[in-house]
Amino acid sequence: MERSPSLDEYKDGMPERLPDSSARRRRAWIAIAVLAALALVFGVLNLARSGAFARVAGVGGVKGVVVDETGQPLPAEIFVLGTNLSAETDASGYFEIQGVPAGDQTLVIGYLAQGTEVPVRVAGGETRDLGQVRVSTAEQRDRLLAVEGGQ
Amino acid sequence: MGCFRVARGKGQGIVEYAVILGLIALVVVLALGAMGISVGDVYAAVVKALGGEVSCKTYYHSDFGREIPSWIEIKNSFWGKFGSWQVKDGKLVSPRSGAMLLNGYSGSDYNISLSGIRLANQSSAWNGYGVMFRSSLDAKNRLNGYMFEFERRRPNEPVTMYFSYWVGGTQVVMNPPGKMVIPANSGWDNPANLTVSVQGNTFVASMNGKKIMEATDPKNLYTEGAVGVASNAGSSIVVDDLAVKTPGCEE
Repeated sequence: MERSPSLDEYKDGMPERLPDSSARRRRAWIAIAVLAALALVFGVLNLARSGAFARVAGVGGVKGVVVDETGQPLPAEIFVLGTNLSAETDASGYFEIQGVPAGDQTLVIGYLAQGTEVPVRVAGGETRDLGQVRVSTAEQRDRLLAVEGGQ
Repeated sequence: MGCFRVARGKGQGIVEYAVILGLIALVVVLALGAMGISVGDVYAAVVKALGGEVSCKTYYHSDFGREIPSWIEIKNSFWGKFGSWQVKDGKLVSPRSGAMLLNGYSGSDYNISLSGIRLANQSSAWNGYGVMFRSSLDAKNRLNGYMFEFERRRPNEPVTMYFSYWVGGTQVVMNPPGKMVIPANSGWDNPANLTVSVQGNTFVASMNGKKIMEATDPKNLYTEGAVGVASNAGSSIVVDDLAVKTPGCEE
């Protein structure tokens, strides 16, 4: 990569112009600047994917009411994927989870051992109200019959 | 004076090139990380592509004859209501709606190979079986981990196969690829061999040496855990041989 002068270049005495290394160095520094910028961008992307970013962004909450196809409240368990956070619904299907890392999260609404994913964006310091979360239950009830030996 | 300037310039050049090389390496590692790809996985893939030797290791093996493994049965509101797992005539036999995790081995990347599988005691609904990987139990004895599964809800309904993850005993179908229908006469209920390859966040199921399904978990929920076998509520499963090996190792 380095272009060092050879003896041939000096056979007629000193050349009028010495090899210009400044252009090469300028190119090298441009490359360094571009690579450093790329490293910064990818570093920030990695940080955004990590829990550290969530800690910086803060925590929020999420709440809602889980109902079946007919609007009846369901006894469900709600998990925040990738965390240890979970909650059970009360008799009216209501749940609330606090301490959820801010950012895009996935909730799993579990009913009779089968889950439905619900993507949710959580803002730091706020509780996101999902309103009614409708979950289909036919397959779960059918499987429960088999698990309980009804079929 | 001039000589000193040239020497200083050459020295800086080497430092600059070293910085550039270091930054290139850093950018590549960070870019892979941002895309959710492990450097170790890339290295393994490169070694494999170059025809390098994959260091083969058998992490676990049982033919249920001379070598009988110990296992942990999962007993909760979903599994374990119809009896216990047992070894009978050199085969592992499950109850209906049974699930167990092999005791004593937990890992990250591996190939799970089940040979001589046979579905038995089929009732009129919810026949099927599954292979669990990167799995563990929480304080309430509920499953957390992944599973590959064959399932037939009713005799007149199609057979489906799918990868799923479990969180707190709740199963979620991984979508994509979701549930895929396979022909009822594909031999799913009596394959000579079923293999589940677990490498990074990519999981591949193969039946009788032929790849049948692949799934990727972009969330990379579980990075390590135990291996297990499960039977659905409407059938039990019989297995001749179970081995857990280094991924990419042929028989």
